[in-house]
Amino acid sequence: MEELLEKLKGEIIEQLNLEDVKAEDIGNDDPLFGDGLGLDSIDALELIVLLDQNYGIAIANPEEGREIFQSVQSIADYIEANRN
Amino acid sequence: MNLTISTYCTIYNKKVFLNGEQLHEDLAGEEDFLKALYKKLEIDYSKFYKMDGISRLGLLGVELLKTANHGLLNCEDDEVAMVFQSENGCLESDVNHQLEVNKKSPSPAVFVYTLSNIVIGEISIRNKWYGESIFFIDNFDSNKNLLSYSKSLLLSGKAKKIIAAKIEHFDENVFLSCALIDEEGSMPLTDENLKKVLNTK
Repeated sequence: MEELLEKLKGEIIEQLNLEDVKAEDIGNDDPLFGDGLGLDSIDALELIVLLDQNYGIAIANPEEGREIFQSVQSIADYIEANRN
Repeated sequence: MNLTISTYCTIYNKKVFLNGEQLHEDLAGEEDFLKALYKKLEIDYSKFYKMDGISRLGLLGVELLKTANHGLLNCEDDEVAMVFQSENGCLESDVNHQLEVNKKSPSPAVFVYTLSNIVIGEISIRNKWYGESIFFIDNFDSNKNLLSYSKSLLLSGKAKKIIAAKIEHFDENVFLSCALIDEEGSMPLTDENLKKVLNTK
């Protein structure tokens, strides 16, 4: 799990062009939206693409996104539970 | 009403000119010139990194105008209008999006920049300006639309300041010239003067 968390942080930084952010700046449970990393709605769509491209996981119900994308930890949990 | 060009700026060929004076000459060797200029200007706006090239270029031009004309910082949010012109518009993002479409999942972050006037939107968001705006697709040499629309907005009282700009960011063609038009400068707003500050490479 720890390896997945670190990999995810790097992928998020790269995919979302977070040039001022380093992996160590992102806590596993830090909120990604709002007061945390300050991601926006386009970033949410990019995260959906990231899960699809890098992990083969499609989010069929966009309503699920709110819970899945709460933090790096919640994304990692979702990947662990859903990847083949 | 005595309309003038009070401040002007050009970014071209890794050079920056503000009111005719070259600035930041040390950046000429930078591979990513716009990113280097962003850092040099000490702008704290991380959304810059997510923008396409034309939006980065337009945002930096306006930031430079603000450093020379502090009146821009004190305007009411509906007093500043933006009148932009380009030959290629957002063609670079259009091409990038087309390349993404050929992949399995095109990037939403690329797609959102496939409208030419998004650069104006990004500048508006950054500065909290909600005045009039228009984006013309026109030949580089023509100033007819820029001039007549800018004058119309000022003379009708719909804006107090106009940022008029010519902007290109497609392949090797990276060029921005922008001028602040209001009543506070010393250079009269004429065809000849506008050509001098906007059409000179």
